Amino acid sequence: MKSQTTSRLLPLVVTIAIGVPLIFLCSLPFLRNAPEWLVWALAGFATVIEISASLVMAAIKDKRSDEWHRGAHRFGTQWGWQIGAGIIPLLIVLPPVREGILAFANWSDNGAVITERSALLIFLFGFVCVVMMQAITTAILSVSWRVWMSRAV
Amino acid sequence: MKNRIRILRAEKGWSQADLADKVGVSRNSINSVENGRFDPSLPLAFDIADAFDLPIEQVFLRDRPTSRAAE
Repeated sequence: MKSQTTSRLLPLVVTIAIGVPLIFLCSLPFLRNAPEWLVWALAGFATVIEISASLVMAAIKDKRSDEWHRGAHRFGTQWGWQIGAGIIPLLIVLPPVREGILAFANWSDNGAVITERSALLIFLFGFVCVVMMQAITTAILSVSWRVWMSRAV
Repeated sequence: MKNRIRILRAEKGWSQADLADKVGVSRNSINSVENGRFDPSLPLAFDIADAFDLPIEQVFLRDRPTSRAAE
């Protein structure tokens, strides 16, 4: 019965976890002209929802996992987080990536001199990039571990 | 760590999925343990031995000498 509940809950939580950041990104053009307090209030609200959804997903996944899956997770996070974080400085060396960051900074203030808001946005953007890269590398390594462990003798 | 899971399964006519169901883990876990790529925790090793109604030492075997034997 409990398992059925978590099975029904998981798609909803995944939809929320993916949907909230997407909605926030799509609303960036509107937020550029919105009052500062509204932007921060919405950002805080979105963050609380996102963190809650992540915690529920982690709890559901842990409940369904056995030690083999936990081994895959341990391997993935142990190496994925470090490799993912290391990839970001390498990416910043690439000219198209640097130009993209500058274009984003300029876009955020309509080409004006970089302000505090731009600096904050760039910092947050960098942080999001690191976390996303760590999540991607963790997932790839976790899947690789599973494939390696499941191969035929 | 070596084991006799494949032989014991064959004797019982169980698939990996059957054994996984009896022990309460995923088929991937049984596959990796059986192939010697994943060392199970002590509770899981006991559960697997219990599924075959055998003591743990008749299911799992050392693949290297004990530290005492090496001395």
